[in-house]
Amino acid sequence: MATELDTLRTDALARIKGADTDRALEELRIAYLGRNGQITKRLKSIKTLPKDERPAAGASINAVRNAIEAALEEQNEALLRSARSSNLTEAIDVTLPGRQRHGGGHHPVNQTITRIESIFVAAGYRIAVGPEIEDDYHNFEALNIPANHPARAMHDTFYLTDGSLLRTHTSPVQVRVMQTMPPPIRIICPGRVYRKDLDRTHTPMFHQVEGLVIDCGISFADLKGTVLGFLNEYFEREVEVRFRPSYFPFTEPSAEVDIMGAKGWTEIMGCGMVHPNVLSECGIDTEIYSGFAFGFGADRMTMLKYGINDLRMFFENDIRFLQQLA
Amino acid sequence: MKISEKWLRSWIDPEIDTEKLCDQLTNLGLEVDGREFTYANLSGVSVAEIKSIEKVDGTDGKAITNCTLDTGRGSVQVICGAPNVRVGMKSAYAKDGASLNEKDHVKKARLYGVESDGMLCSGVELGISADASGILDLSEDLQVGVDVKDALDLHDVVIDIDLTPNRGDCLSIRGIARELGVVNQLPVHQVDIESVVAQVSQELPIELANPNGCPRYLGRVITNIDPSASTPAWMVQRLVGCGLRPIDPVVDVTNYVMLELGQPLHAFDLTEVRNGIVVRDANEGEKLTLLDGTEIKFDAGTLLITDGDTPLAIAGVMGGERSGIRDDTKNVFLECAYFTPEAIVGTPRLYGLQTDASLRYERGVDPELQYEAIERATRLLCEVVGGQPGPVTVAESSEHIPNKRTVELRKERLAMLIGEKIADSEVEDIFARLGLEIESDSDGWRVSIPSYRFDLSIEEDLVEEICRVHGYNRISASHPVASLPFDVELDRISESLALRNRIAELGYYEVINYSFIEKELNDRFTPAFQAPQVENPIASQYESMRKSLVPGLIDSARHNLSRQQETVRLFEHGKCFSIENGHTRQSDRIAGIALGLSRPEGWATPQRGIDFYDVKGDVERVLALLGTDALYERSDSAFLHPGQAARIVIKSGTVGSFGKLHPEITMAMELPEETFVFELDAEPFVHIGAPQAEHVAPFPYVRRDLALLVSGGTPVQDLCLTIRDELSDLLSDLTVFDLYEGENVEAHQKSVGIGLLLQDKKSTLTDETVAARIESLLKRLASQFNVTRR
Repeated sequence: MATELDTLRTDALARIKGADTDRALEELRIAYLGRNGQITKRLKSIKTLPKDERPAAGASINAVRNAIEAALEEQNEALLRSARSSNLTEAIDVTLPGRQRHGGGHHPVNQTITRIESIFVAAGYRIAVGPEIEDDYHNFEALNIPANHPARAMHDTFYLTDGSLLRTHTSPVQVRVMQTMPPPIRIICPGRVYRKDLDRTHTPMFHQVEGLVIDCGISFADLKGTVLGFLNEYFEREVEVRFRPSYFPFTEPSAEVDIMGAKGWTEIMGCGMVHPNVLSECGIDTEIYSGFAFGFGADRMTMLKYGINDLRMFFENDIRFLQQLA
Repeated sequence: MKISEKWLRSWIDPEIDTEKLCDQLTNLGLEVDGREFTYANLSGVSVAEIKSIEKVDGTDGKAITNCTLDTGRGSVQVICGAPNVRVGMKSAYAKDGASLNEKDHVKKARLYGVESDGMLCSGVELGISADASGILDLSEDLQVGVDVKDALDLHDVVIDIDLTPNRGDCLSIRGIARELGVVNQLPVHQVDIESVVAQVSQELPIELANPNGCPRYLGRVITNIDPSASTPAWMVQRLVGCGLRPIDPVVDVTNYVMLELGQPLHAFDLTEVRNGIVVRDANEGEKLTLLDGTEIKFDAGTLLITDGDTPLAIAGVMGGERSGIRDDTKNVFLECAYFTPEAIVGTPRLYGLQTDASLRYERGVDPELQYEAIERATRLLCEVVGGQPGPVTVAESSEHIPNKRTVELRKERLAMLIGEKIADSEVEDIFARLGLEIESDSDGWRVSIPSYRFDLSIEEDLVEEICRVHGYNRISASHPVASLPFDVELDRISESLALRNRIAELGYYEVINYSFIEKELNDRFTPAFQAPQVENPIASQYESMRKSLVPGLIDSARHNLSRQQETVRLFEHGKCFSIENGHTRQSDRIAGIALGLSRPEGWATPQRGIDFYDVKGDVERVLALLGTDALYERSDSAFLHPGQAARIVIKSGTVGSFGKLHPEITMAMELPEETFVFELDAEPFVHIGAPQAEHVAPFPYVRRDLALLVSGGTPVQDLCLTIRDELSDLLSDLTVFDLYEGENVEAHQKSVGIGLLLQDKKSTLTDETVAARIESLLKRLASQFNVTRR
């Protein structure tokens, strides 16, 4: 009997080893371990043996069963492994382009504004915005530009038929903030502004970012440090900067800021110490507080950074242009 | 303002080149905008000597000569009609190809049958003098063959200074020279201004009817001038160096003094002034024909120079034609007045007349300058055109003349505003250089402001003067030291950023369009409200403030289509404007346009044009930012296809609409028929509160798919709303996975496949519960919508 069992075992293991499909392997499992399988049958027949022989017979049959089970398992693994490895040889063309989606992005000027906002917000500033249709008071009078002031000629204002106007700068936002919030104030005011002008470097609508700081002891040196710090951060390099005296009705002293570029000095922003008339008009005590303000064109900043030489490109909205900077 | 470098250097001549000089001016706040050489277009003209003269015949009696010239490069023949030619004379010879100014080029020609190889030139032809009576009679010492620009030293630079409106004091050679004196620490040369003794006694009475506008008016009669005199070459060249052209000797002298000292003057023909001068405000409707021939009808209040009855000139702006200097004027009345800026400001703009005089009066003229200027002008006038001056007639109202000011500057304030201490000795030195007299004490200075620095009136103005002369670039940079409050009232990021990010991610490029559009277009897209109108648009297509972003997007899309971009997806965020109930509303909107392919072309993607549901999918992704449900209703938008447009309604109301553009619009705008747009109110997307997290239950989901047959006109949204309501406690997700009409479905019916993902958040759902709930749902759908299960 032992011999017969040995033969069975040898035979089974050999057949299992030779099974080359899942199906063949399953058939072998059924043939040996199924309900009517050869091992099952033998195990069932144990009870026909004399009682004292049963443990030994059971042990030897179970040993064979375990060996068959292990062999089946092993062969199953082997088959899976070979299937996997044959899968590995089936290759697709990895050089074909993937499925595309439409690209999109922000307008270069708005990207610039977002960047400028984040630079100033990191320095403790807040963002303030306001209406684009303004009244004479907020756009001019409160900023020390009374009617007929020669500085109004610098602005070329668009008037609306009801007597209101399109803001010529975002300074009215500063006025609105100063009149509603007590110092200390640290804000930047980005937004669209309008002036009646159209050529390669002027469009009737453009974007400004203005900044305002009001606190005790704010000085011209603070203004310089702020402007220099910002410009270095914005252009991501040490920029050569010069300040020169200028005039704005709403600042005194006033300065124009130039940066050195490939073609010499380029005017980039106006700034100054907030004029005491403006502070007083906004209810701020000039003996306690002082402040500075600065303003520049976001469009111009974008042009300088990305080497764009025609401002009108920004408003043509050509996708081929927008894609380049998105 | 343009000024001659040579003239300026006759007042102050620092040892620096032109470039450095311009830098100095710019750094003083007198920004040099550009510079150019005078006579840049004068070339090919050199000194030549007339060797022989031959009379030319057959010239209808005109004295025409054929001159043989020694040009220094050989001998040439030219035809000349000037009466003053003579043998041995040196003159200016323009060779073939020479240019005299921007327009005139000299060419070889055959005149009166004789070859003329170039021409001999008068001073007027070269623009270097005002004498047109003959060719230039040059000094015998000049060498033949030398370029006239070298021979006559015509090299000068016109410096163009962009003066800020506060620096009226620098609208003159003297003013600029003063500034250069300050920075170079050099004295400024002064012209000799002595009173001219009256030679005749004639005077005109002057009355100041508006002493507020004109507190001082000096007048002087000059008789018997020589009408044939011409402006001397040196004066012409200085005027040219300041960008002016010579006109006539009297006007040239007044211009010259204005450029030199900054005081505008006006000369009248005495015979037209009649009984005297009255400076008064215009009456409404009074008229005057000006020197340039235009007739002006005045508004009441414009300050005029009159002869008592009729207007002679607009004070400080421009003279009248009738009383102007003519070729035959023999007697002159010279005006030198102080008009206050308040009286003149606005007038030039009102009548569209910007003149050199009005520029100076608007920005301010030194109120003490008139006595000097009239003497200077009289002296020059008598030198140039002769004549006998009368005495200066003075009309003034001293109480209306600005007082001399003193301004205090506190040391502490100075240091605080600058951010660093500038030594008292330097401050005092700067004041001295600026010509400001000071009284000092331990706290600061009392500064007397000279009459020409009318721009200095408050402490901060003096701070600026100190900074300016000290040098802005020498002031150190520091950083503001400030408290850092958490200020919640203002934003830390741009309100629209999340919204714009979402749309950009969906494959739209952001554009920026002008906020003003054509009125007709504006009203066509949004008939509902009036739009604010621009009174002075830059062009008629920019006259109306946009009520919708869509017309601008269409414009951008068209631009791209015309540049062969067949798939266009653009969006814009910005304000729209309307007048509602008499109030101007300015609201933030966001809108997009899409046309072309639904996905970019590719081997693995079936190519398909964009449709309504592509855009709706985008809109839904945008609305997902709100975290609330939206309902879609039929839109009645004027610019959308009535059958493919939806209005979006959220809890707070309509938030926007989207759909296919109306065929009338796509046709008119030459757009593809399948063009889709969306436009949303941006305000609901601002300050969206944090979404509230829900418990994620661990119990298994059960999916049930329903195929519902319903009338083709029943909106799927209605079915879904009922389902959501019926299963609100169990429904995790609802998908419309199929829509079918056609074979096996009755006409006017559709089959809608709806997938339900159900979960009981407290226990495992049993099949029995699901079956019972679906049963009652179907009953409700059947009664509400006549739905049957397919």
